[in-house]
Amino acid sequence: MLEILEYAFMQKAFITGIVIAIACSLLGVFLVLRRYALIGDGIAHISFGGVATGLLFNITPFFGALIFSLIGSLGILNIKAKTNLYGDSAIGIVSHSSLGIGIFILSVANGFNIDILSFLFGSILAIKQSEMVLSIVLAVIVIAVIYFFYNELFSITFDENTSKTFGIKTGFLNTLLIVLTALTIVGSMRVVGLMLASSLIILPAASALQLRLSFKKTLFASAIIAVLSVILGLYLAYMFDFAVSGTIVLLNTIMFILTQIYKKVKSMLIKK
Amino acid sequence: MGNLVEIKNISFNFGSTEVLSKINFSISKGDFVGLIGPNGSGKTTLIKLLLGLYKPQKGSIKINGKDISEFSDWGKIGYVPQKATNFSDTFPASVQEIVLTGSLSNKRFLKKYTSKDYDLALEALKKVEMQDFLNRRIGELSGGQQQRVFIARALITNPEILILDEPTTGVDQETQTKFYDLLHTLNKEGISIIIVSHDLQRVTKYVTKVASLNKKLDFYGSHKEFCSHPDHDNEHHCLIIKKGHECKEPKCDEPACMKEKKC
Ligand SMILES: Nc1ncnc2c1ncn2[C@@H]1O[C@H](COP(=O)(O)OP(=O)(O)OP(=O)(O)O)[C@@H](O)[C@H]1O
Ligand SMILES: [Mg+2]
Repeated sequence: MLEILEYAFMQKAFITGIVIAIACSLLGVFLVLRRYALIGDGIAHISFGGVATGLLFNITPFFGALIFSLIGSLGILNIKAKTNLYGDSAIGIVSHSSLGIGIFILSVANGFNIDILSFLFGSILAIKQSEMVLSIVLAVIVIAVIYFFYNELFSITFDENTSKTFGIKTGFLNTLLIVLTALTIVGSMRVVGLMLASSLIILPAASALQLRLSFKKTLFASAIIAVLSVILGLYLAYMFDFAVSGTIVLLNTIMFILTQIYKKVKSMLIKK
Repeated sequence: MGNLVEIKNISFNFGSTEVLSKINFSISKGDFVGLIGPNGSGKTTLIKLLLGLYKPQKGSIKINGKDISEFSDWGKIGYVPQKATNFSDTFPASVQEIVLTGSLSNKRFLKKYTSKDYDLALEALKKVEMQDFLNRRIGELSGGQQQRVFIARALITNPEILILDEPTTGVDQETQTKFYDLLHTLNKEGISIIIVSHDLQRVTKYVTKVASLNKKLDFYGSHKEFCSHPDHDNEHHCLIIKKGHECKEPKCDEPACMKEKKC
């Protein structure tokens, strides 16, 4: 099975997939617990507008997505702060506006439909060296932020309001978390595609939370689940010629089901 | 000696609705203030203003002579919110981890816990008799037990002011009695206390001042003065003072009576 690693494109796919999986699944634990799980989807929609704009103006779609997702995610925070809307409505407003821009551009200039598909559904086997390096840098930043701000992030995740009375800069940390999520979503565009980008944020975290571990162990479990799904997904996709992104996401779904079974079995054993 | 808390001419609106109007009062070191008022009278809002969570449209708040917008000594204030956030039962956190977060207010940038913080967490949990639950998951505790954990979180920094917003909601009678005794002890040790309560009778013996709020500050003074005012004749907050401690049947759950063991 190791012979697939002899191909350079496979090595890049594995490395990029693994580091993106780690970044997504770690952020996911915080986002899911704060009921911000859908922000990943929102940012993916926003990025779609950026990709289309990029293609239209002949800028690298990656940068189009990056700029759109950064502005869009800050916009979400802003709308949430300025209006009394809940986070999900704020996400909806910004993401659908950007999605609208993307679809509008596509309909006006309909020459690049094929390119757009690779962004929607991922193209991990065509990842460039530079994209791999960027993904690694991104994952290192995510891990560093979580390491250095662990206690504060834990506190605001549990109880944001009271955390303010501890002198924790909740506004700064929220912005940091959302911006990192935006970067990570754009980074995962090539791995699983925008359609499934938020799956690596939600599913591993949701599965890990079923295991009833401590907070730190939940973070590790989430990362392990995500990395396993990427490794196994790439392997299966290569062996059987499946779509990579779909395989990765389905494996995550299977993991989630397995955690449910584990929970049932465990509670049955305890009852005995 | 200056006032610990000084509230000057505070008004606060949510949108166009005025919730607090021209509030003036000050709290001295060692005071035990009972903040009362009907639902929606602005008690929680006033407390959030005190904590700097809201900014007043008019007026100023000073703590230890320092304007709240410049205040940064958060370890000196312990806060127990009215409702803990609606965290889910599956939240992966132990009691210890929750209590430790309270000590973040004494730390600067990149806050890490020291072994002393772990000792302080245990000590704070002992004060609310929850030390046996140190390693339990917060979601597995009952509502009252969770509330005690949040009180421990507020106590971990040995604050100078303790601000409690209906802290005993969902806490059983016996624990309430112990809890109020604890507040009394802390107060005697010099900690000033502000407590929102719908049932001052329980704290009657200990409260030094009553603040009665209903958008405006209707009354601020001693509990005795409050109850001797004709408007407050039938206030349930005054029943104990009016009738004394007759520890007969329906009152047997009152702290004073439980102590005297006449029931
Ligand atoms: N976030 C908010 N947005 C708009 N109005 C609010 C908000 N929070 C509170 N209010 C309003 O402000 C008023 C005061 O609310 P507050 O929570 O301070 O009352 P309270 O005295 O603490 O009541 P309770 O005894 O029910 O806890 C109420 O009329 C309430 O509807
Ligand atoms: Mg209230």
